[in-house]
Amino acid sequence: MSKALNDTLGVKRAIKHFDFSEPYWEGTKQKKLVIQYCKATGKYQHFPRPVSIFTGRRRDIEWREVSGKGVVFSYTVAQRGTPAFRGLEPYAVVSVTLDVGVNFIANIVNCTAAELKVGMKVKPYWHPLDDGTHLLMFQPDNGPA
Amino acid sequence: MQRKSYEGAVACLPVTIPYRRYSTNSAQWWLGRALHELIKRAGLRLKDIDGFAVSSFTVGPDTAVGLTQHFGLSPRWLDHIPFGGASGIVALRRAARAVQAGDADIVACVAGDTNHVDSFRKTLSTFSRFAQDAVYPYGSGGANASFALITKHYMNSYGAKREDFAKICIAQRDNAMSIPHAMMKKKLTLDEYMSARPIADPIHLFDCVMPCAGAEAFLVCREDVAKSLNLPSIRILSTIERHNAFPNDPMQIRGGWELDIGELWSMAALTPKDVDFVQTYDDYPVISMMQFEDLGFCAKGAGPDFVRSHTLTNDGTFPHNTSGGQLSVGQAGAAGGFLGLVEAMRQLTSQPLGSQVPNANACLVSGFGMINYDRGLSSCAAVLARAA
Repeated sequence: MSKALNDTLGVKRAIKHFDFSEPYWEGTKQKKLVIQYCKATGKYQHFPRPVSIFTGRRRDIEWREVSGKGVVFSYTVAQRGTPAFRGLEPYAVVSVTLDVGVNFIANIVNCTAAELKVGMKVKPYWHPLDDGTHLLMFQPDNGPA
Repeated sequence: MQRKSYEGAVACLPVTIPYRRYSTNSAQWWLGRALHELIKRAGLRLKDIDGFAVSSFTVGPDTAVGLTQHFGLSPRWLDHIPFGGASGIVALRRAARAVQAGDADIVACVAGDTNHVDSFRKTLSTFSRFAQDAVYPYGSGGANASFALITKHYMNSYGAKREDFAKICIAQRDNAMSIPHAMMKKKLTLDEYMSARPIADPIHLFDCVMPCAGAEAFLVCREDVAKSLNLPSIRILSTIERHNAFPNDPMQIRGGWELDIGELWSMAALTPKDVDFVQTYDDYPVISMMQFEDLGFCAKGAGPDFVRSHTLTNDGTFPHNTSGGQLSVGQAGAAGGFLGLVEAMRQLTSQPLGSQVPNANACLVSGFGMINYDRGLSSCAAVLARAA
């Protein structure tokens, strides 16, 4: 099972942005992970929503930069990808629990199938996109904390 | 406040338009055929249908209103229920209330989808606004990847093994052997299940439904109306419905049923031991296992043991998905949310398409739908019984 995983970096991605997720994409231009934080309850939420899912109010939302470090919560190795990803299988999709406590689904790069485990530490890998934004992926975090 | 019973409202006339793997016909064509079949078999005229509830993913840009014009209906009660796997029970409970209140006399509940060569992909990409932003860029837009993450998490948490999921799939295949329109009617062995090609580990080929084209339908009306039409009917003892339950669970490991299960059984005045068969929503076997837990048949986390200690075929100790479920019959889009309900109506009126569950007097049917990110958002269930 030490099979290589493909990195999916070559996939042409046309990502539709919604009004309430624009600050997220703006942050990625500087390789910053900013996610929504509810001031009223002190909780983070991902993915971007139009309102705080804890209070239902828009004004409780602020965007906070977070480290992007975390641990793998669950993962899968896709052997039959969605259409744009055909031919790149196998590639991994991971759900990572960020150090602020919310889960983020993304791809993982620089990682073999044998290394990939629930509980493994990961850090961000920023993949540049044509429009100047970056797509957050993860990579193993073997460095000092 | 005590919920009002469904006394007086019944469901009758289960209709299935036999599935096809692919179809060049439109969803409107499939839905229209189902509606026509209802009218023909009930001996009704079109104008007798004064209520209409429709569920479909591929009928757009039409809504229920547009469909009334397509079909020549002039209903005074109309509902569009695009809730995927929750559509059937939601249609049933809404229609039953409309009939009880006198807002409609005869409601046709219809679900169907077509399956062009590329329509499954189109459906996926329009499931949710968020999906495009948050998951699609990672090649994870489909239900397979979401359910792979959920399945792995469930296996890690509760010790389920692939062999346990195999048992669910194999029993359903046995149940499907006598269903004429089942997409998959070849007996499934444990070896075949275990050695099937991986789709998104730990999901393998036989954990996945086969998308296809088809339609399912039934009528809801007053008991006296069903009698006057000579239609065997079933009683609705209780229902529940819930959306976006447990938003703070880090990943789905339970469905909304858990919130409402006490009410479901108390309203029905039955316990899980009292039902003779169970139809769960089975887009993947892990979600059926979760339903065994969340609907009260075993404790949370005991799903794997429950499966190991029961036989799940129609002649077994726990008859489950008695027509083979979506895993064997196929998933005709939103009709998948009707499949278990329509089959339950056949069992409870002793008109099975396949094999009859012995002494089928009461059952539980559950629905589940709308996978987004790392969870399915909609859950519902109904306890049903043979007419007195």
